[in-house]
Formats: sequence, C-alpha cells, structure tokens
Amino acid sequence: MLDTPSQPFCTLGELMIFQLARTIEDGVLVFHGFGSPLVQIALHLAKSTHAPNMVLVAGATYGVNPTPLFLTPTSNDWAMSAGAECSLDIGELFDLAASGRMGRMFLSGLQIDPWGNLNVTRLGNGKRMTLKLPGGGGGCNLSCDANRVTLWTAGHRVPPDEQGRRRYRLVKQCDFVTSAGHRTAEGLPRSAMPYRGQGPDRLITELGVFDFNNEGHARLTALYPDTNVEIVADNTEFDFPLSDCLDLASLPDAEMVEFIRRLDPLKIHQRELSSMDRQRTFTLPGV
Amino acid sequence: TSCYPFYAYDRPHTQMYYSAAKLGDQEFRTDYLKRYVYDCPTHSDYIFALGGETALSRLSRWRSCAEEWMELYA
Repeated sequence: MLDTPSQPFCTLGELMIFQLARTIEDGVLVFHGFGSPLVQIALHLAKSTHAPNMVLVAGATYGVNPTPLFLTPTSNDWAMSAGAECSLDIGELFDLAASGRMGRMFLSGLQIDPWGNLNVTRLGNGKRMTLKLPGGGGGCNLSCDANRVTLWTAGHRVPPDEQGRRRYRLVKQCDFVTSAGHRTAEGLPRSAMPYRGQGPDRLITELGVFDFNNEGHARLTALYPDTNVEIVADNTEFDFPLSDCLDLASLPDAEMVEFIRRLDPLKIHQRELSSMDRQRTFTLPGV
Repeated sequence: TSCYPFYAYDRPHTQMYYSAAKLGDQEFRTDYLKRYVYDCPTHSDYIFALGGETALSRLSRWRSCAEEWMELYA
C-alpha cells in the first residue's frame, strides 16, 4: 500500500529495480544468476510493464516465465519457480547462451573496472592472494555469450577508513578478471576476442547510472535526486567521462512501485542495501 | 532444505544449523551433530528430533495460501 496520495514516494531500492528493469528489451531471453533480489524483481517488473514478450529465466531454478507469489529470501527456492511454463536444466541454459539466444544477463562483482570487467574470484595480485571470493559461477561464460549484460552494484559508495583509505568497488583495475567487459586485462579490445556477445551496456549503482562509450569505457549518464557528480567521483577509483545527456534518472511511477511492493512483501531486496541507503526516498513526479 | 510439494524450507532449523556451525567444530558436534545425526539412527528418530508431526505439519502449511507460505519465512 503506497503512502497517502499527497506523498507517494519510491525508495532507493525501488528506484534501482526500475533502472535495472529499463535495461531489458522486449522479446529477448533474460536471465539472472543466484541470489540477487534487486535483479529478480527487476525482471518481473520489466515483464509486467514494457517487456511483456521477454522470456524470463529464473536463476537457480531455471523456471521459464514463472509467476511467483512473493520473493523468497533465497533465489534457490522452488517458490520462485511457481507458475513456470517449464524449467530448463543448467546445460540447456548455457547452450542457449552459447548459441546466441540469450539476450541479456545481469552480473555484479566485488570489483568493477572502467571497461566493465568484473572480479568475484580473488583479491590480491600475483602470488599474494589476500581474499578468496565466491567465484564467478557461470558469469565468465555468460559475460562472453549473452548479447548484452547489465552490470550493477549496491556497494558503489565506499566511505574512507580511519586512515583515509577507500576499498573501492569501482576500481581502476581488477585484481582478477572473472567476467569479461570491453577490454581484456592485457588491454585488448573486446572486438579482438571471439566473444559472441557485445558486452555490458549499463552499470547501475546506488549512486547513479553509467553506460559505456564507443571505446567501451564507463560513462556517467544519470544521477539520482540526492547524488551529484562529485559524490560519484569520490567513490570511484577511476576517472570517467560525463555523458552529453547527463540528467536525473527517471523514477518509477506509482503502479510500478505498487507492483514491487506486492511482489516483495518481505522486503527481501532491502537486504542488498546499506542501512543508510534503505532510508533514501524520492518523491514520485506528477502526482 | 525443502522438498516441495511435501514441505517448505525449515528456516529456524537452518538458522540453528548455521549458528552451531559458526561456533566451531566442538560446539557443532555437541549442539547439532549429536542431536540430529549421531543420536538419530533412523529417519524416524531424525523427524522426532526435528519436532515430529508438528514440525512437518507446520512446514506443509505452504500449500494453504500465500500468507501461510510467507509466514514460514518470517
């Protein structure tokens, strides 16, 4: 139930879900991996609004076009496959991608570089590994095969520690490249690699929205009502160009917000956000 | 873990398992393994340790309606 008509609003989580959904084209097969409530909801929002003909394949359960009653805390719950037209097995899912039939995939990483490369493998360079990360699962394959990839993170903001150091999420260079962006670790352009897909075209964070320019470099294209270029720059290790069309990100409408809240009554998606970010709200326009 | 359509996830039990595992090897043996593995020679013993038919009935309530299903995740 939304607030009184005089003060309808969306939360940051709902705004990010809307921005993630906007990256989805109608009529394509879209897949999300394990454990990302923001993206799960975004896929359902897209299918219920501008992309009714998309084929939604649920991560973990591989249900095709499911209609779950509510979002569960884990993506690997049969409840998320409720109402599915059928289920794929993991081999079929990867075959679809390898044969060029996966239109879009969603990926994130503990490190994201300016070319859209992702690291979920390890921190530390060379022989000195400082932290072993969970690993990429199918992200490596799918980042090469999916026609397009939406990148995202809710960890863009990195406050400095007591010594003034920041452990950036958006880094100049990934310690390890798990999933491929627009330039290899050796500096080769994606076009030099035999990848089927075209790579990432959007990066959605809790501070703003990036696209990728003709060189494949992340470019800031939209801000949120409570952020600005300085905040984004302070929390990004690399320099980035600004889009000529840099503007405020569009907000979801009231119906979309109601859809999100109905699908996620347990507010699972808020677990991906910091306690500070859970408090951020934005008045919906035009009401 | 769940086994649909028979029963949904037992989240309190999963949380207990996780909490016991975090305490370390010795505590995990005494707090979890002894109670739910070593002292349960049969499947029936295991079900009894989990709470028997009362527990299974609770986990099967997911079929009743969406609200009952969601209640299992609270």
